[in-house]
Amino acid sequence: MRSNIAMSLRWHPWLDEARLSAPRLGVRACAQILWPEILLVLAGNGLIAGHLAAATPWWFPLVCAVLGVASLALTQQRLAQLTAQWQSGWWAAAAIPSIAAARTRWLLCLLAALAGALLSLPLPLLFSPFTDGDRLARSCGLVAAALAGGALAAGFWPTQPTRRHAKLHLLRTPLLPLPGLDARDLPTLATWQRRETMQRWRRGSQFGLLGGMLAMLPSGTSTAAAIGLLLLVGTIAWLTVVMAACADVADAAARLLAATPVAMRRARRHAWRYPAFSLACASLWMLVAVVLLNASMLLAAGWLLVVMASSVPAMWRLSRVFVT
Amino acid sequence: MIPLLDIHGLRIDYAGHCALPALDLAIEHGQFVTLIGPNGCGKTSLLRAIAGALRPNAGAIHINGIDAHAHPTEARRQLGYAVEPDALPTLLTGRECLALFAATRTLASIPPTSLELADQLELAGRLDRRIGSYSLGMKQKLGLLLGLLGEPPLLLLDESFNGLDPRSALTAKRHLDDRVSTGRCSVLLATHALDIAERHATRILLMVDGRLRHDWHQSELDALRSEPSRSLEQAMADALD
Repeated sequence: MRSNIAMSLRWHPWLDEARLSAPRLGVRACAQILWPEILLVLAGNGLIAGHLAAATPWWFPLVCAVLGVASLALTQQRLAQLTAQWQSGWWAAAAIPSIAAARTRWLLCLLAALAGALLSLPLPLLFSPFTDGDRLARSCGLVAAALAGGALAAGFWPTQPTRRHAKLHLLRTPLLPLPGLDARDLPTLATWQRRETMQRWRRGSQFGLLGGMLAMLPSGTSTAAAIGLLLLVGTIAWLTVVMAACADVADAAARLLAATPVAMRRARRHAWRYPAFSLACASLWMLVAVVLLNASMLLAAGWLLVVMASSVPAMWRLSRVFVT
Repeated sequence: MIPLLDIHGLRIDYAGHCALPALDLAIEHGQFVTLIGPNGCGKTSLLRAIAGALRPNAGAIHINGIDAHAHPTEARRQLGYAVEPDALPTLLTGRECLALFAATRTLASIPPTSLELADQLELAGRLDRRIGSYSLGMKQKLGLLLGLLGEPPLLLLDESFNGLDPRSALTAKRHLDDRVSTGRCSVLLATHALDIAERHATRILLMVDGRLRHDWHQSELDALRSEPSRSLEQAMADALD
């Protein structure tokens, strides 16, 4: 009993809550929560495999740096969500020393760094019998350092106060109204999806990724190429936010309208309106980026696949809402 | 005459726990029924199952003679369910939310009766603000308006008077009384507020462990009300012993 009290003073008691509730989550729920981390680790594994297979991997350190920035942005976003939960959730009224909260944030950063470093190894180890040991160690080391370094760096990042988020929640509206997206027999669903997207986008967790990418561009890069690259990365970041926000809103709308005589099949179709519109806009921007980068259509197709892959979990959820 | 709500052998399980073992219930047109009982006795589960928000494991629900399992959309057209405050969309305004619900009932716009009631509940001036800025009482008022929208014959309310200021609560109760007494709807209200049950209900059901322990009809309630020494609180305590 005494050790439990000491534990609650040393660490945030949320750790105990997480320790109890995590085993009760199913595999599906875990995948729904952790899919960005899973994608990041898979990207790390794929990057090492690509490094070992390519003849002239000049791009390898640059992509490792992008991976590091992505790891930083993701960990920072998770910490901001957690801090918001501690400040405005049911823990808000508990007398928890700020040092315990800060220590817990650092512990989580450390665990994320450790997990990032360890999980980037399984796939490359399959290559170990067939490749040069030094090259393997270098590629694994760089990717592990990028993932772990990004997660650890998030610990130094100041966590945004939640009051700002609460104000944004009520005041921000999209600049350009798109009333045509709302269906007549289910009005305001697209508006709701758009507002949720705007709110998440304007919290700015993706801007670190875009800024980091810009900062890492070689000095000789042309303006057109820089804009093109920015469009490519910006598009994927935007679409990831759109799809996740739309799926969450569609879930919430299905629960809200569960007791109403809503036409389910039509509602499911309407839930796709805004995401489909966003996908069309993003594809257009990607075409512009491909032209600016003077890249091949093969690269464009590859990029489109990455975009679609990043949105698969949300698309799956969108296809499952409003089911009787 | 076909009962407005007819439930036979309703069974609901939650992760190995049986919330409702086998419930039978019939509610006639023009009844104000309150459902009372200890926490966790299955009141909300019953309302959610009737509303179609919770799938029962067994049993049949007929609303106005329509099988809720075979024809869920038609059955839901016969009922209104006051939305819980936490389920309301914080990013929409009250008016947008009303428009969304009106569209599900194939109404071209928000009915004037809903806007009149919003005015009586002193919510009309806040309808163009986002729901995220509403207090608990304002959310309860909006939830009630959403349930009443389209004037469905059966209205399901789950603790809908919690957080309402006394004046608004009185307005809402009078509105419901008026609709019930003129035969325009029946109300099934789950509540712990025994004063509402005692003053407004035409029938009171006591639920314990998913079963109906006692059913007070109009004559018994009239007798209870006529004797100042008796109260529903005491009658409920006696029934629970």
